[in-house]
Amino acid sequence: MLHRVWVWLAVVTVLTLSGCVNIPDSYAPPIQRKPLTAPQPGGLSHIINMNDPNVLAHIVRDISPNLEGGVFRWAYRRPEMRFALTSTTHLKFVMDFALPAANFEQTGPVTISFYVNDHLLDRVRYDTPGRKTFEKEVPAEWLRTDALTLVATEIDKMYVSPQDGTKLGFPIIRVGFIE
Amino acid sequence: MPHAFYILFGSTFAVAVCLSCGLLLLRGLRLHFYRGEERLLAFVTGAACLSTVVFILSALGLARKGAFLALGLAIIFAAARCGVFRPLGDDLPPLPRFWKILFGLVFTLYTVLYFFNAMAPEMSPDGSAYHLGFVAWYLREHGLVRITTNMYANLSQGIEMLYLFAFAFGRHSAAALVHFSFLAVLPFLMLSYAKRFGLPVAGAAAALLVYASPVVGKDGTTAYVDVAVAAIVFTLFYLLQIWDRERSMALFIPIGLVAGFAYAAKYTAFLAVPYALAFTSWKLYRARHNYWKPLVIISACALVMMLPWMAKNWIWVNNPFSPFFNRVFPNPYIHTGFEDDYSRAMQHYEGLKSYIDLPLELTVRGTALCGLFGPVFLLAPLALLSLRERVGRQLLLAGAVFGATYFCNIGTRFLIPAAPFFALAMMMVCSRAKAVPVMLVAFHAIFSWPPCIKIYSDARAWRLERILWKQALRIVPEDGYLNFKMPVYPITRVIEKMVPKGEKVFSFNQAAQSYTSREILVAYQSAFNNTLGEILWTPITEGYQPTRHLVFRFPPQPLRKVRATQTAEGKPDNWSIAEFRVFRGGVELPRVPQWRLRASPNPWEVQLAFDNSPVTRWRSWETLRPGMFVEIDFGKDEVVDTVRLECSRDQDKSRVKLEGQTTSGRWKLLAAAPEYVDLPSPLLGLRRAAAEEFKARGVRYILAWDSDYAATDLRTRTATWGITMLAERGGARLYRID
Repeated sequence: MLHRVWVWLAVVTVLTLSGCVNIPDSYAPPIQRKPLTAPQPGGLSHIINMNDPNVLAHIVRDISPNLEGGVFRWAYRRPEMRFALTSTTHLKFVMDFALPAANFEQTGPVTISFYVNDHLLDRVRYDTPGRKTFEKEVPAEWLRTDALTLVATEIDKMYVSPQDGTKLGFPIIRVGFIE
Repeated sequence: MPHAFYILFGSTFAVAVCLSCGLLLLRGLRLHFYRGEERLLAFVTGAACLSTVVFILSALGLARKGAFLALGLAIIFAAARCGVFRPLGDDLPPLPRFWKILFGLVFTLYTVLYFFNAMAPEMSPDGSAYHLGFVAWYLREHGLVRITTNMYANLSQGIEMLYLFAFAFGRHSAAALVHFSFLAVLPFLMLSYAKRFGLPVAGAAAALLVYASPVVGKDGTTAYVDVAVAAIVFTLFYLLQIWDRERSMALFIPIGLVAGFAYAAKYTAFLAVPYALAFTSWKLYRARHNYWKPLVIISACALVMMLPWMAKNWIWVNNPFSPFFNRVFPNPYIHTGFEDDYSRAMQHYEGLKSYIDLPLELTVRGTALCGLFGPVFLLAPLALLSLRERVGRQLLLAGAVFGATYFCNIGTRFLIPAAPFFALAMMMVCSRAKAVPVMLVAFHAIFSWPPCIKIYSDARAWRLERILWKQALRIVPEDGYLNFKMPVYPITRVIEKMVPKGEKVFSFNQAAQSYTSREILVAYQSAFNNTLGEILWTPITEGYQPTRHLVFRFPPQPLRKVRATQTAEGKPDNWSIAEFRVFRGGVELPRVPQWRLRASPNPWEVQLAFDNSPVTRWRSWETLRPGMFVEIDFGKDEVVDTVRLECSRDQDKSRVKLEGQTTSGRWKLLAAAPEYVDLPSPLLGLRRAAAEEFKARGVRYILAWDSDYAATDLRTRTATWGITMLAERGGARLYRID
């Protein structure tokens, strides 16, 4: 009698519970979102690290072709780069760079001017050496998506090497636009 | 004052109905108890019955004040007609006069403290968020609601059903007072048990130690459930001990019901059922009696209490034990990886540096584990000396059983169900010296009183602060008090006012869900919410962005299916794919409805790798292991020469190979490893894309606390996200997605 009760209980439980499981095995592709215009590998992008493979395509002038320490390149008097943008609103120009202490001892405080498509975005005086980040929103009307965007910086005092007289600006690490 | 009346009516009515149900059942079974213990056992047994009846009413869509009123009055009327309120039975052995006075004094003092705190506006984090959040929701909808976006909705809610009954009349505080009623019953249960088994002094002392314990008082005066669980498992123990002495078959019914009710009240009390079964079968086996029939009766009665919760979960979320065991019962509602993380988090509280600190944290400090029992409980190891006596062994066995799940969640309150057993065993030993229990009770009663606790506890220990009589009687208005004392309350009320009905609000933190009718989707509480959280974090977390492309090139060939398979193993990385693209001659194959997409694990979210959105991704939600895959069945042969997986960079250990199924149905390796191409990051346009994803999922509001990872970005880049800040209250900001 008891065995029968257990058997019935088990059968009813299994049937009841197994009927509830309905997990699809596969799915159709969903509704497609509007694709983001992301930079294409090898092409011009909106931001670039100095150790990225296609950085040379972004350099217009006054930046060393040699990568130093795996992360930065030396900039000279007026380094200039070009970028391809997919939108123009709410963008910030950003530049990660450094002011080496050894150079700073010679130059003292320096002032760097930042230009976007020949518009002066800002002019900043740096009183201390070390790693710096410049970040500032760019007016949308200065930017275009149908043409390349040129950015440039200009340092007021160059470092002159006592050994060979080479003139150096500052090491650049990353330049471009972020939201 | 009318509010106070409704609160008292709701809670008293619920308690009266529980008592009536229990008395009807126990008297109906012709069970005979001592005069003092019958009502206590009846209350808990009746609570089990009422809980299940409320569940059934709610399942039928009858969770209405009128239905509860009619039901309750009918039960009380039936009980009165049957004369069950007339006390029967002999008196229990008396307590010594001194102890009677001491017990009465301490109990009265703490009852005043607890009663007014329980009646004061409910502001406990979990009580106001989910215990009562669901209760309020069920009442609004007049029944149970299928909730797949909050794992707490899948926990058993046996006590919440009682709260629902009381809440219908007196709202939050009525529910908390129902919990308080279990708190008030617990010491009397302990005392009655002790009197019956010849330990009156130890029982009185232990009852006071538990009752005055700061964590017990704090928990039992809110809409939590731990003290109720303690009362339930102690009732089960008590009934089993009575059965062991009297061997009445009819006791198996309340034993089964109460054991099942323990599971219905809190998952961690599930051991009540095997404990009851093992206890009875062992006793019967040793007495050479048939133990099958008792086992069947106990099991059947326990299942009456348990099955409703299992069935509800199985039907609604494909897992009878949700939110746990998601690997055994795979479902789209809880990520297995989240379950692992959650379990780990519950076992290792952030503030606890080492398990060596546990005794002090549990008894004296009270911050890291949220609550303290009081320094007297540092003497708990003395309880081991009670092993010399049979009663002591029984108590310690029960304490060990109901404390066994403690390490699943090491919060102090998770020890409350085991505390009465250890306290009784401890006081059994201490009461051998006459003065010791008095001293311990006096010390504990003094140093558990709110102003005295802070002398030794951490400043932020979870405890009661004072008697809130003005708040309880609503002389201080509820809204004003909550605005002042409860950080999440003001923004919750703003949500109620500013968010249109039916809209959902996403948040990374729990809010006071019970004070708003708008659903708040908390990031960690379900798979759906996990995905929303990831979407929101992707624009501001470069490691989440799809900037690493895995390109597989192979000779053009017709294929029926392609499959990317994980070949690596390693923690803590998960595998994820933001987009899975297939090319022929440099042109991407359009994703047509005939395609069938599969993934393992987490098959339910495979579409996230095929939606063109850079802010969504299919994610394994498990650490890397070989054999995980994402697959496309083209439905016909397609000539293909390249596959590109657009992935995030937060999975360094991931290694993927590509396989294809040829027209003959044979699988072959297309590429053992991809070519890696990194894009510059961060990508542009992700914030707006994330906002669009929210809207596509029907979520148009975001609640961000200043301490949230995304808070600063949301606040400073509202235009980029495409959101508008609607309000700010106490460090929380409510945004609308435009």
